Order: sequence, then structure tokens, then C-alpha cells
Amino acid sequence: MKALCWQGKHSISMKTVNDPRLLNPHDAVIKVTTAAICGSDLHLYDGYIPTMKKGDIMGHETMGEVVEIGPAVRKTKVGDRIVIPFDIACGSCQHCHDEEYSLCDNTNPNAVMADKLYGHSGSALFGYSHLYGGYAGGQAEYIRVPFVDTNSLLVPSGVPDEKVLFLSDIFPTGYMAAENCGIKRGDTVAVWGAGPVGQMAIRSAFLLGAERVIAIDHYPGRLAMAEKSGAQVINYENSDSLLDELSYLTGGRGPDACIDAVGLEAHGDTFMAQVDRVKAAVGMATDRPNVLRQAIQACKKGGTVSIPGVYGGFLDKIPFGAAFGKGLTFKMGQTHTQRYMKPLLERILAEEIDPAFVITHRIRLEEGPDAYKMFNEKKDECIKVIIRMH
Amino acid sequence: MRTDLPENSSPATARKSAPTREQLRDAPQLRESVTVRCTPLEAYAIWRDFKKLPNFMTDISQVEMISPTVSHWTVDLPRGPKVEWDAEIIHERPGEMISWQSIGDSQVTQAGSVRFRPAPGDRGTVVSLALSYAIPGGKLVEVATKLMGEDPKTMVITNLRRFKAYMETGECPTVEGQPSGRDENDRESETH
Repeated sequence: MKALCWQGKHSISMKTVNDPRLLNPHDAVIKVTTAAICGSDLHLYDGYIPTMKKGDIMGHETMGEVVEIGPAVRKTKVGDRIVIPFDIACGSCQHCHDEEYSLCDNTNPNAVMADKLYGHSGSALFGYSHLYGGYAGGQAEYIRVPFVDTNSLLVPSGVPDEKVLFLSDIFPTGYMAAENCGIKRGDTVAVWGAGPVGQMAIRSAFLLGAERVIAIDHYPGRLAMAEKSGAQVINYENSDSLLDELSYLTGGRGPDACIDAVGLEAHGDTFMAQVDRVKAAVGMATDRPNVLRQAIQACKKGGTVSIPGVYGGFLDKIPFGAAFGKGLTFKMGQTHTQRYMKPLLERILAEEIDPAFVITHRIRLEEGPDAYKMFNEKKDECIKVIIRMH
Repeated sequence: MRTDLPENSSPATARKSAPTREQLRDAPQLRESVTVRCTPLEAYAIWRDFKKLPNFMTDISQVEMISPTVSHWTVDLPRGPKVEWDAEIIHERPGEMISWQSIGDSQVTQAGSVRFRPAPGDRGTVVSLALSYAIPGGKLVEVATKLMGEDPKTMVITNLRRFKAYMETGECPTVEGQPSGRDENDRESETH
């Protein structure tokens, strides 16, 4: 089959690889119909996530048709159209039982490596480095899905791929980020990063009752999209002081909750952002936490900082004194996608939201390597790329 | 018994009878535990079926039962020497614990125990493994460890994790055999 493979920093190739096969009794093999490139794939593309190997198949936003199932599969049937969550859960451990699927104990074959780095390993992820299990991803014609009964959402017939594809990651991720804000009546939520996850977080914050959402970015196309969703927008490049502006807009209180939908590769023009860039470049720091610093500084006393943006390692100069002094709550982590897929499908079917609004580019698999480059450089107003597979 | 040991470790000295108390008192000790979502009796029953342990504890190649309490263990990893020993159960309480000690003409001398206790708040069963090993007259384990590239602690943790996964899901996670851009059949298209 054909697949998009990581070849090194800033290098993705389409390669011919073996077809996947069943490796465990609860596995299924899926013929992929549509996949997407995620903003977090760019962290791999930019070489920020360690333990990638040359040849690893990319992709964790995937859907398709079941073509083969293992002997222990109970619910899923050949021919089912399913959306596959990006995190791989066993469905049986205590964390899965508690619906903390991305903290699953049992799916990462390299758990010992993650134990050493993080204290404990989370669940495996599709196409997201060997630290997270080394599972082949879904930017390919076929994908093997472990524990398919847990790691699938059955799509009702007649619903097009584009409407439900983002249940694999960005819609649940944006939604969980908003849910983690504990939104109450009258709340203002500030969202850093109006990329795909930020866009979903903006819509989700409104669905969950936010009075106002303020979106912060520097790409006009993204800000225009956020505005269409009802957000007030700030282009931080045109703003003398983002923090002053947020304070002014919230009557001096600060946003009730701040969402960092950017993560470890934050841009920004502050002095610290420049220092971060240099430190990361020479290996003195792993992540560039500029947004997180701003979110902590801006957030209301007693407020919540919700972090769907990915972090991988060690963060420098985090104003922890401000976080402590203001009694902030932090909520973060990989999304427990399986918890949200079904209720959010209901919202889509009830026409409360159509997540397809973020799609700006539809490509074929062979256009993948160029699309990565375009998405990374934010050219052509690129917000979300989907790959039509067959 | 095979003797394909490293040159500097003499099989004659490596093979001795059961460890003495003194040897095991000074021996390296490992203690690891894992919490499994099952009852103590279920965990005990799967563990006690020694000959099936290699199905999921992949570092162990084979376990043969010589008698109801004596078993013969073989570890034969690709990059290490083959290591074998006999072990005898010296104490067991079904659903609670098993303890054992290597006996006879073994390459590896060890004593160990595994306990199964209910975790608080219905959180399943805590499986605690304690292992002491001693190599009379040699440093086989140290040498074997270097050859295998894994320290005993990592091997124990890996095997406990696999035990847990097997108990909770009926399988152990793997990506061996999956496709990647490292597949050989890609050489052709790479030249294009």
C-alpha cells in the first residue's frame, strides 16, 4: 500500500510499504477513506518529538471501512464505517474503566521508556513516535486498529466523511479543552491559537455556555474564521500589549479561563519567545512555552488554564509564582477521545455543529509531502488539510 | 545442559548447587509491583500455570513442569546466552502467594516470591514480585545482562506489565509485523 512516512526533520515521503495485518486478537484492519493532517503532526515534522524513526507512518486522524477483524472482536463488523480515535485504549484497565482513555495502562509496548521519562506511560497514540508506542499511523491506504471495539465510532449510513472525520481528534480535543474550563454563566474564555483545535475549542466553549470567547492568533485567515464562529479576535502582532488588551476587555478581571491551543512550538515576538527559539535550537530547552506564560499571566484569579496544546519535555521560565499567587487550576493532557465521540456525534447529527467548517484543503495521498510543507509554512491560508484516500 | 557461556565465565564454576543463605543475603534484590484489575485468585491462577508464562512473558523461552512443585526454566534471548535453571516451590497459599528457590545443578541461583493482595477501594489486585539472584563463582547475570542489553529490573517490569495486559485484556501490546517505510519492498520505489 501507499503511506506517508516520516523521513527526518522537514521530510515526509509517500512510500510503498507492506499492507497491515492482524497482529492481536482484538485488532481490525481498516481501509482508510479519509485522513487528515493534524497541527500536532507538525511537531513531528519539525523534529520536536523524540523517538521518531525514519520510515514511521504518519497520521492519527483517520476513518474508513473495516475489512478484516480478529477472532476476539465482538461489536465491530466487516463493512462497518468507523472513525478511529487518535489515542489507543484497551477498554479494560482501570483508567479506561474511569473513561480516562488516553491514560490507558495497556496499549503502549514501549511503556517502560515512557515510564522512565514521565514517571508513568500514557496510552499509545497512532503515528506519534516510539515513546507513544510506535504504532503505524493512518495517512495510509490501510491501518491496523488494536482493540477496535473500544477504538472506533460507528458512523451512521448517509453521513459524509467530512462531517465526522474530526471526531478522531480535533473536535473532542477542542471540546475537552472547553469542558476543562468549567464554564459558568457569564464566563469569558480566551483561546490562544486559532488553528483547528482552537477553532473547535471556540465553538465548544459557546456550546457549553460561554458568554464570550476571545481568540488570539496572528494569521488573518484563522482570525476571520474565529470571528465567524462568534469570537472576538485579537491579532497579537497588531496589539501593543496582548496582556493589557485582555485585561481591558475583561474589566480588569482577566479571562475566567485560558486555553493554550498552541503548545510547544509557540511563536511570538516577546523577548522570551526569542530566547526560547535560541534555546530550543541549541538543545538547551525542548519546548517553547510562550503562550503558556501569557495564559498564566492573563488568567483571572482562581481561574483555569486549560492546555490541549501538546508539550513534550521541559519548560523554561514558567511563572509558577503567578500561577500560585492567583490560585489557578491547570487542566491538561491528551484527549480521552473515546469519551466524547458518541455525544459529539449526536451534536453533529442534531446540526448544532458541522466540524467540516475548518477544512481549507482537500488533497490526494501523493500530494501529502507538499501539503505538510504548505501547512507548516501556513501558506495559501491553510488551516486544515484532509486526504481523500481511495 | 548447554554451555555456550562467555569465555571468561567458566561453566564449571557457574554451575553449583542451591544458593546458600549467605549468598542470597548479599545478592542483588529486586522488588517491583503492579496493580491488575482482577481478583487475587484470578491473578494467582494464571501465574501459577508456569508453563504458560512464556505466552506473554516473552523473555522466558520455556517452562517445563518436572513435578507439581519443581519446574525447569529456560531463557534464550536472541542476543544473550541460553540460561537454564530448576526451581522448586517452597511455599504457597492459593490466591495469596508463591515463593520459590532454584535447586540443583543450575546456572542461575535465585530465590523469589510473588504476592497477590487486594488493592484498596476495589482497585484490583496488587501483584508484588521480590527476586534475589546469586551466581556462585561467576558473574553470569551481569554478563548476560550486557549481552541482552536489558537490565534485570527492566526485564522484570516489562514482564509484570505484560502480565497485567494479558490479565486485563487477553493480549499484550505489540507493533511487531506492522508496515513502515523501512519495509524492504520499498527499495524499488525509493530509487524512482
